[in-house]
Amino acid sequence: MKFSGIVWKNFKFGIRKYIAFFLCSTFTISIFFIFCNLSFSKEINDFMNRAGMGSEYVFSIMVIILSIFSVGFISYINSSKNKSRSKEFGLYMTMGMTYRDISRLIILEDLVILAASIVLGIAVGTVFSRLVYMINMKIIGEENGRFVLDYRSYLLTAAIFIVIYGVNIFITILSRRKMNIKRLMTSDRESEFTARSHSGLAAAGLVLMAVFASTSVSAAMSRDIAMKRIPIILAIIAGMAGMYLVISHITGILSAFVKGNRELYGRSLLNLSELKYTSKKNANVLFLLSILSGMILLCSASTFALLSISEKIVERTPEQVITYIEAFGVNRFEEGYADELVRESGAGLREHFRYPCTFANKIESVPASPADKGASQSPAVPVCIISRSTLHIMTGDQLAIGSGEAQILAADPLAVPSESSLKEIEITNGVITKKLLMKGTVTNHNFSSEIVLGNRYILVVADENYRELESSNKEFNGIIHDIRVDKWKKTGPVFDRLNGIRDNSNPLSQHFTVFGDYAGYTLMRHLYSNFVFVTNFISILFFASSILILLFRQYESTDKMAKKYSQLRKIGVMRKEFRKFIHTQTGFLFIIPLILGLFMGACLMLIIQSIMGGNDLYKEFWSASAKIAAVYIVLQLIFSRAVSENYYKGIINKASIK
Amino acid sequence: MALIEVKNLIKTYYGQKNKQSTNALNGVELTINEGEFLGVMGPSGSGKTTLLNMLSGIDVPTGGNVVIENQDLFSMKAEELALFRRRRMGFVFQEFNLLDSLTLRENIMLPLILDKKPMSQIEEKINRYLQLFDIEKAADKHPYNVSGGQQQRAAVARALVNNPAVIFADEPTGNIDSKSAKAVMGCFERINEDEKATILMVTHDPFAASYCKRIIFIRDGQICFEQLRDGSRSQFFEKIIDSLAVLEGEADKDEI
Repeated sequence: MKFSGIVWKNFKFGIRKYIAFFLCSTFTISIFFIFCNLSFSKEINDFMNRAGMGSEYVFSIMVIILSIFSVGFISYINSSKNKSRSKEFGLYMTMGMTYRDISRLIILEDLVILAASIVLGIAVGTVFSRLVYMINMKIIGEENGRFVLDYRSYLLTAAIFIVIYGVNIFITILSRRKMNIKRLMTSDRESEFTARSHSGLAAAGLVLMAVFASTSVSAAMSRDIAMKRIPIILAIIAGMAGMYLVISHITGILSAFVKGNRELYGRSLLNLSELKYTSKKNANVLFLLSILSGMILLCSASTFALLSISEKIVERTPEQVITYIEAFGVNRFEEGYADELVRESGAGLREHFRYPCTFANKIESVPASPADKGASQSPAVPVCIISRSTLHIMTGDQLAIGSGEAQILAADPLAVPSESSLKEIEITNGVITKKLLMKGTVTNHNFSSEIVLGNRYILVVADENYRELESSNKEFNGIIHDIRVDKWKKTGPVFDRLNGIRDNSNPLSQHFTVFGDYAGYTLMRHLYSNFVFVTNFISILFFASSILILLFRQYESTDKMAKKYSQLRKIGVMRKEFRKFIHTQTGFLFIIPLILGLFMGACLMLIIQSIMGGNDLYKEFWSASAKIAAVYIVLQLIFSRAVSENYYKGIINKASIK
Repeated sequence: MALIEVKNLIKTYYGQKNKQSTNALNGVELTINEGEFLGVMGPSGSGKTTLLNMLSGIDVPTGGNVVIENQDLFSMKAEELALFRRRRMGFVFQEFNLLDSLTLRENIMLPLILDKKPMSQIEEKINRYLQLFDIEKAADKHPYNVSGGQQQRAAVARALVNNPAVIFADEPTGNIDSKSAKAVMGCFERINEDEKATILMVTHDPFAASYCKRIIFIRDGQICFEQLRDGSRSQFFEKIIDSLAVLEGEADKDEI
């Protein structure tokens, strides 16, 4: 038999290790690909933007975190695969194989696994992408969506994983270069004694985490999230690095604390020494589990919280209303019909206000939507104009607008354009043209009529300018109906009936809908519940990954623990003591990621909160999130116990002494 | 006074479907007195380690019983046995069996820590043993960082730290050089003479065996004969060599 034959035989003997590595890689690549393809989907992006989630930010943050997860996971499984083969490499070297031969062997094997994983991972990802996309589309109600396999998903996935594998192969070769035969043959024992932890590094990690936390808090308090994108991304990376340092060296702080108390030192000696080794050896695993925990919490808690506080979001506006615009022949109902419907519904009619408004169908130098900064075009929907006095009656706002001036009024803070796009504008209603100097933009959460107005804003002008526009073209005049009720939750049938009898043949009809608190609530719940599905899908993927990691780790360490059990058993350790020892070790594997995951999830939720706006409801948002986090913690603790018990039984079964 | 009494001890390893069964121990009868330093010798596969495992309760016999301090080992429950092992037995193994994650000092402390003894008492005792076995300088190093001899001396200290009724040693010099073997056996001799510790040692090594007070020779799972040390250690060493020659000679005769 040739030497290559021996190598091949050894490969076949250790096939389980390669298969575990290959399957884990394939799984990671598939998840990454599915997520990439989903993030490039136009429909999903439009949907998230409609739900106010800022898809660009949410997806870029998630792709960064998923990439960090992939780096950590692949490095972990790759290094444990290579470490488990150290003795084999040492043996080859004793038989005359050179360092160069070993490197060639590693590169060859890893390239084969890389190629196979990328091909299979992307293939599996492609198949499941379609399925995930179809389910998402069905749920968000986009029947016309067309599934596209975006070429960027293929390029990004392949590029990211080629880089990850390349770096891993490089690191492996570098680390092998340092190894001599003796160290290779004894590396499994060496790793245990070299486990050192430094409280200074743990403290540095805590500082980095504090930077992440403070940046997240300041982001949550700031409106202009887009301007802070780079600092936020840097803070996320610093926070992650900090978490890694804390994980690797937390036992340094514990040791320093315990050594001050002799009795405590004695009682915790066995556990602490093992934890020192566990935290060092499993730093990558703990780090990955922390990221996964954080993402699971972020994805499920924040969206469930949004869903549960949607009622409160609606009630944010002090008045409970039904509102619509009567203009261009749209929403021209029989006099008193709407009031009658409100009475019938039992919602309790308080008042029916009617405010005059007029429209402009052409605006120069003003964006069609304030979000389209600086665009200059004719808007598809006429822009609603009201007078300064009308605004005062409607909302109580007193704007200082002089003759020849105008202001934009918007309900959504994200719709506010930057100051640079505010210029002099020219508006026309087909009869007269007026030049107006833009005085800026104001937001008012109480102003909830944005959707009925077609555009997401209205123009407020001085009373004399309004009269000129109103009198010049009566066809462009309209009425804003504002019906105040006592119980908005009972107004569902009113919306159904009014929207049901509207003339849908009028092209403007779709823009001037009958809207109000109930309709807003229904829409919000629809959007949020769909978002809950999307994010929970991601949570399930992450949860599956964390289970995979834990099982991989247990599979890898059972033999070693069984040996330790036999050693301890010989010196009289009882089963219940060993069981407690295993529960402590496994508990550590769960508790540390859980705490760090809660921290990371909370920081990311602060960032998400700032992206979404609505800081006025943060208490409700956080208390609802805390409930989900509590459920998650309880589930994790139950799962931890089950995993630990299973691990313990596995060790006992493998141990030479029962 | 008898400390350990072994009656008709049998251990059979069964093959598939009870075919090709092997009798590792064939009705061993043995009495070990308090303060004895007993060696067990015999060729490979004779049943030496099996006997030690049975006496220490690490393995369960097919038949017979082992009584230590008037307690039948195999009528105890597994957890009672573990506790008995912790408090009344000490172990020294060929592969040292020290925990790599602990320093030598911490490894020696372990049985006392498991027994929840106060730290002041533990430290006092540990310092005495570190001094006794001359491993003070290596005390705060991890097993990987010290010599095999130092590791084995730490293992002996660990076996002794709980004041056990008996110390079981399985090939304690098998993994160390002759100088270290001498130091380790010196430790055994000291604790046997000074502290009246009862020691049962399985060994291949006639030099290590020469430190014992009595040797039993075992072949095919049965005790063939025994030798008592009644002169100097070098004389006893000669007797052991002769006995081994007889034992091997009989084995060769059997093969012919």
